[in-house]
Amino acid sequence: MADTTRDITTLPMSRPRGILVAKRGSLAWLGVVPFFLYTTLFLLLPALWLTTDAFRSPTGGYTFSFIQKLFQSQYENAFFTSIRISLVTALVGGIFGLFVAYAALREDVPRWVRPLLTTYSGVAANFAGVPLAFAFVATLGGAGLVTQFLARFGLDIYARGFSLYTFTGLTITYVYFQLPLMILIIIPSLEGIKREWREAATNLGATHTQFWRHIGLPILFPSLLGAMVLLFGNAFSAYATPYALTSGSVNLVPILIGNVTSGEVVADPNLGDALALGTIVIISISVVIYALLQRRSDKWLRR
Amino acid sequence: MRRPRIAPWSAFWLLLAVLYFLIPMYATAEFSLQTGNGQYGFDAYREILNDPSFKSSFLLSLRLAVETVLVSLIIMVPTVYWVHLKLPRLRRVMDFIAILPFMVPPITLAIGLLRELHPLVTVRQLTWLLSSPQQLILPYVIIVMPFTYRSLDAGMRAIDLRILTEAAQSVGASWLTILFRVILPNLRSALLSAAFLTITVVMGEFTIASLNQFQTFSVYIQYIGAAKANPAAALSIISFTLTWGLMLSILIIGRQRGSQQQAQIGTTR
Amino acid sequence: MPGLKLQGLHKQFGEVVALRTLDLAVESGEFVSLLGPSGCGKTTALRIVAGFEHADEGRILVGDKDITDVPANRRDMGMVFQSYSLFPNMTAQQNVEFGLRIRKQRSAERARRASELLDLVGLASATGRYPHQLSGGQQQRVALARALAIEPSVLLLDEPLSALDAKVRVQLREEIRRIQTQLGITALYVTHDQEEALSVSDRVVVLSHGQIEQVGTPAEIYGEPQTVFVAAFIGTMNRIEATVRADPSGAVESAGHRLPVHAARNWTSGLHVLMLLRPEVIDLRPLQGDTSAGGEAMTGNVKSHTFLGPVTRVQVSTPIGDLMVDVPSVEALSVSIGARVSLTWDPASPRLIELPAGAENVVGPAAIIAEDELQPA
Repeated sequence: MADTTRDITTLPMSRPRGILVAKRGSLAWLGVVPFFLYTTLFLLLPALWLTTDAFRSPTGGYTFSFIQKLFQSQYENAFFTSIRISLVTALVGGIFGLFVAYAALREDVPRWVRPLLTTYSGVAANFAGVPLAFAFVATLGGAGLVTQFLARFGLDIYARGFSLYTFTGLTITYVYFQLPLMILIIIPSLEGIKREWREAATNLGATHTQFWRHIGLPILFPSLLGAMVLLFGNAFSAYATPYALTSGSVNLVPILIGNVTSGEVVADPNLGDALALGTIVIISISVVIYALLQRRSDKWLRR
Repeated sequence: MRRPRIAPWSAFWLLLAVLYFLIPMYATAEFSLQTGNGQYGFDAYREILNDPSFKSSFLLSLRLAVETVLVSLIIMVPTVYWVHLKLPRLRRVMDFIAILPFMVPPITLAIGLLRELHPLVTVRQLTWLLSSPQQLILPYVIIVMPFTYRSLDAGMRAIDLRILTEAAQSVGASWLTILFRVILPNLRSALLSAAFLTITVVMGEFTIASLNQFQTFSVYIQYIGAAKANPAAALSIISFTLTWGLMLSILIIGRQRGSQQQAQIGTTR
Repeated sequence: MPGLKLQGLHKQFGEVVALRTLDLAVESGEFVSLLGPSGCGKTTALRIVAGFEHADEGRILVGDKDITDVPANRRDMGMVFQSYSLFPNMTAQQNVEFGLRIRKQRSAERARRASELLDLVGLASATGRYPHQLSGGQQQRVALARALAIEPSVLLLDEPLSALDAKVRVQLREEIRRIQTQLGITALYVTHDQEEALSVSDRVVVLSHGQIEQVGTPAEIYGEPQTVFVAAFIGTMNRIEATVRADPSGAVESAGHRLPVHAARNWTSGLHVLMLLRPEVIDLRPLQGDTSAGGEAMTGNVKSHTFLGPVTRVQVSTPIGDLMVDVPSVEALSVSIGARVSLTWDPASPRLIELPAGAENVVGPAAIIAEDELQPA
């Protein structure tokens, strides 16, 4: 924001660079070595390890057989289900979260709402596995609170084909950690929408809707998209929750990885590696799509 | 300030969120209090609190959480500070790396790390690490990185690092002094939110811990859940309220101690 | 161009009264400034006119039309904000066109009008730039063009220069005035900077605690402050607590000294008053040796110098308190610190304000404090 106070005579495109900014070829980059070392050792290398193992045959040498296995219908289905549930819960959680966060930030909402919401979201975003599964069994399971409540009004949801242990049930459960994650991520971006923009638009004759169409949403778009990609990856990686809810019987990629790796069904570690590689590829594609879409709004973003 | 009435649609969304958040909690709480035959009581809670594994697994998770906070801050704070100050061109790279952990699912990370560390069993100096739960900190620092980085990045963006640093340098402060006496106090809320999210992530982490077969709190909950339903529900409630209570108290303590600081930083409305 | 009338505007935030039944009429084509320290209600008044806040009581009229209940987006008022108000996702041109786009004007017409206005504010070459590529001054020019594009009935400016450098501030305020005169548009300008208000306005409204202290031309506000507050707030003013003397040629008495003031002739003797004396109307002469000045002069010792460019402000310690005196800088060299000087003034210059009982503390350092408050941090 320092730019706004710059003198009119300064060149508009020149970015203020203090004396502290490193020159090319200086030793300043040494300061980030520990960080890069750590991420290489404990993030990149493990990923790379798996990637190469996915092509390594148990007898030594290299093979594509594990990668080919991914296209067998069971594994292909697992990928499709994982992608579908991740997309749906990212969209539902994302849009729901956007509205809730926006509502909580409004000036007419009491101040104490926000810390309660953010702390609750912080905990709920990491509320997974057995506790979450339990909470939803107690709510929407066959004898769950809401199921019973609706049944009292003659609406037997299980008779109508609902089950907590199917796609719909998993979706409702996933949103419990997707929604708070969205709230946490999007609040800072929403705070970036300045009151002056809203008032200037109103002053120029725009309605609330026109403001959001022409200004609010275009400005929010990159962060909104980024948040959704994070939600997508978050849902795709979820392991503890579907495992607890379905005792490992649902056909999702992380569950399969767990199964073939820990050998509860059949131990086939190289297949696990191939599945892991597939996961990384899918999530990478979502990030690339994000980067491409984001480039559209890049021209007016500060670099 | 007199407040205008809350707009109906924002009340609607907030109410919907509250219902969605609280009904499952209420259902779990109700379930945990059932003692059979339509009776209610605290039997399940008593059983859990008397189980020695409850205390040991909770303390293990809490300890791992605190250690993860320390390690990740030690790595991230100087790095983010340095990038902001000296290598602004690296910001985009950092932004990207910081979301990588989201792209590598925990289960993948855990398996890869196991594979990578396995050959080290032969190195005598490292055997303690490979058999102790502390090895979980290694991947934990990675999975909390997106949260830590975002908080610190936003925090450092909000204050004028350069002016603070130059002012400190001009009175002859060393780099350590600058970091601890000048930068960190001004980053209080960013540090708090980083610590806060790290703790919740680690307290709830199940995948990596269970794959490595350490009995952390969430692994313990899983184990109880498989065996006994009502105590597991009680445990869910206990763990949720404990973590939330912890967060709220951190927030309140941070607010009180940070309030004098606020004026100097000059928040942007 | 219609004029603007504020009638009995009253606004309260909880216990705090932001505006106390404010009445003001801005003539058609007139440039009126609302001036006052922060928290005096000037911004609240402007926001009520713009429709962002609603007055608890009172009406707002544009011409003869009552717009009190018209929503903000249908008031047709152009507003320039303090800063950051340009839409970051639009170029300068698109920002200026925005109001016309909302009004569904055809794009050729919009583009023509936008370039005309960008030309008017001297930014014809920056049409394709995004706000972050513009300097602060340029951003405010675009904001002005954007506000003018919708051909507003009234132009509202909310401290539009406060975030800019001093040099740009002066340059831009003159341009705002030039454009306003050229278009003949009615303008309401909010500022805490007295120099700004005095230099560009037709009339200045000085506000304090939600109430009007004085309305007048810049010359009136500066030369004839009507209240103690205005006297303290505007410029540097020597304020001397005194009592009116029974004296046919007009005089007051302070600390046992007789001070000539023509204005005192019309006042009842014995009245407790505040004598106001601008530093530039006092005449300073060095005294040789230890002679005391005869007649009507005040004597004192030079305490300090402040170089202000063409004049130097000299602080002189006298029996009636410290007085500020402006001396041409070329002459100031001859009065060194500690030197004994005589001070005289034309008895027609000082003004008197009756002091309310028990208002002692208005005198003294308050003048200095009030002036400090005016400097943007």
